[in-house]
Amino acid sequence: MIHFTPFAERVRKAFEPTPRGVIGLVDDLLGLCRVHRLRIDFQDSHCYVRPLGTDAQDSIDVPLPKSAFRAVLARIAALCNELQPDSVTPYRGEGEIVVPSSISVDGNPPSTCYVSFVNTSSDQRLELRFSRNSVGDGNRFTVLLRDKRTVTVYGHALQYIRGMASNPHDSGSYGILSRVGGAEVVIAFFRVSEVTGVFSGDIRE
Amino acid sequence: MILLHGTTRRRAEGIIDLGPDPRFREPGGQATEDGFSMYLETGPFHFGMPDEYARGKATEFPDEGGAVILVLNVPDEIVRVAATEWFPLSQGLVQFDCGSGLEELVAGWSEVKKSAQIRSIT
Repeated sequence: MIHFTPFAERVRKAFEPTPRGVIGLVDDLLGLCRVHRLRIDFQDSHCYVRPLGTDAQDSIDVPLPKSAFRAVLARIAALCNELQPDSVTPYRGEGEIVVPSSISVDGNPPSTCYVSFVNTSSDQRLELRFSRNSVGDGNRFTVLLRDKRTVTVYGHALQYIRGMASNPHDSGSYGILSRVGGAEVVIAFFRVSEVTGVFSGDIRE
Repeated sequence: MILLHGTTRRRAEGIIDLGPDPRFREPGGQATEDGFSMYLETGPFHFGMPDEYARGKATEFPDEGGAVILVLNVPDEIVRVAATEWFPLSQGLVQFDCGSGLEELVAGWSEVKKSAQIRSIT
């Protein structure tokens, strides 16, 4: 068994009951699968969670009633069918779920998770894994401003936009581009004079 | 409170006659301890629609009389006992488990069954 690892801590946290009930648990698992690929099984009155692809002996035993896990699987099925009607039955299937940024961990952008599940009277299991970002091609740009603030923007490209020729003090701007409905649009705009730097990804100290 | 349960006609008739059986065994299946789940008629339906479950069961067990919705009027105090930290009523799903409302539902069944209805799904 794994104990006291970041994975175990995150999983245990996700399985702590909240006022959001089963819906909240599903949201937390979808957020978690951006970081960890998950395999969850219910056997012998226990709910076992492990990183997908590892041995069953690496599982964490989390306290969850069987009826709650079956409701988790039912919620997963409903979310798959919201995105793609009739893509799965309540009893089994494989599909995709879009995870809104509001429930992604660490403020990540909307993403798509691949799920596979079985929810029958004799077999209950779930696999969750991150599939892809759902916004543009999902690059994260971190803009460091001269006043020490940072701004994170999700887009697919960075573009320099010239300043107005009639204004010699206008040194131009940086635009961050994203694809929306097949078109390329500027979704963020920063004056060069206010920017220290633009980085792809996170700024790490 | 009006509650809905999607199932097959044969199972719905059995539930009305005998009450919910938490150890119900599907043909060829094993006995389980899954409790008995229903939806608030008013929703929300975050876990799929009752008629989806009814159709699914009817497809899997085609000799059970087709898909139906079992409609029950369950006293509010029994429904409230079923509400737990995992199943707040705001989710729309009422889960009767052992220790969480199932015993109360079974005890009150003789009254609950009087108003039970079976709605066919076309």
